[in-house]
Amino acid sequence: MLILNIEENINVAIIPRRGYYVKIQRCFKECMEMKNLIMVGYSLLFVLIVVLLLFDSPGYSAADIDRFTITRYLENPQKYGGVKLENFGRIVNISQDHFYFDIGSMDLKVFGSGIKRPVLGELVVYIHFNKNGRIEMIDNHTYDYNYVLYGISFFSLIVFIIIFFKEWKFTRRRFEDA
Amino acid sequence: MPDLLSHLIIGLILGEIFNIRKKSLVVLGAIAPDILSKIPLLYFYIGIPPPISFTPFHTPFMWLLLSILIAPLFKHDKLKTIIFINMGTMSHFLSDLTMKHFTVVGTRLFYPITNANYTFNLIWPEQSFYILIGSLLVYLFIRIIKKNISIPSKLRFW
Repeated sequence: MLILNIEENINVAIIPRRGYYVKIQRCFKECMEMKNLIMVGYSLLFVLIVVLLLFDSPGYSAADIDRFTITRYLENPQKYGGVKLENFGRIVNISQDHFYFDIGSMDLKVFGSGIKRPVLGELVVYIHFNKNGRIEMIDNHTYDYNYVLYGISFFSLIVFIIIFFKEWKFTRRRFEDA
Repeated sequence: MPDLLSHLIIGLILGEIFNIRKKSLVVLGAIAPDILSKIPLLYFYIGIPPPISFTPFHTPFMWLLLSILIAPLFKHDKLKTIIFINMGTMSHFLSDLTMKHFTVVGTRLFYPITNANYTFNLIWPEQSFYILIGSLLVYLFIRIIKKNISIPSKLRFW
């Protein structure tokens, strides 16, 4: 409060409220207001991005209650069953009439035959999640040599970094012309 | 497409066709949707479910927002920066439309208006090396032509 009062007194006593100074002051104030506006805009943009991400994530939105997830299906197949989905993963174990399929967070027992292990890659399975809890394979496709493509992708990241830093250099505040 | 190199080369092709000086911005847009949306793959190999969905990062709308957000990071015309990044992302999504799936898994082109996925169902993801070879040949062809034919400065829009 004391500081504010001193500033007010200085403004009243010393700074003449006319001429170039007032114009510059007004201009600066407008710029500051604009800067605040821009900051508000970017903050809103950031909030919008976060909201969109959360709205799309399981368990964060009201619209999500009836959405199918494998975890929910395994807990209550009667409610969430009857869905046909494409799933991507790795084969853990193959038996005569079923196989175990690693989808990352868990291994699924999927009924179906005629499946073969992919060469340096993963498998995509078209699955029917029945209401009786039985998970059946409808079709499958092996992503052979997919790991090679991952390797190429890693190489392309290095290529990108080279291209990027040929054009830009990083300064304390942002990227500028190299 | 599972390989980033095809996307990168397609971005470079666009940069050459439109004579863009800052090609890295187009390339950034061309590969960025896959970098962020593939974070769940890390969770997949670690073996835990991802805390949030990263799939919105693989949509044109999200990249429009993100490009506006990251444009001030570059000391360059902001509008051009946003246009170049989005040019790259659009090339990414259009080339992803060629991917084949059992169900309509494709690309959510009109998210968040609709969650509908779109795909042309042409080739399986692991066959994307056809696109890689094709795009590499096109890029080399453009580079050779541009090396032999000098482009008038009037045609250099950017």
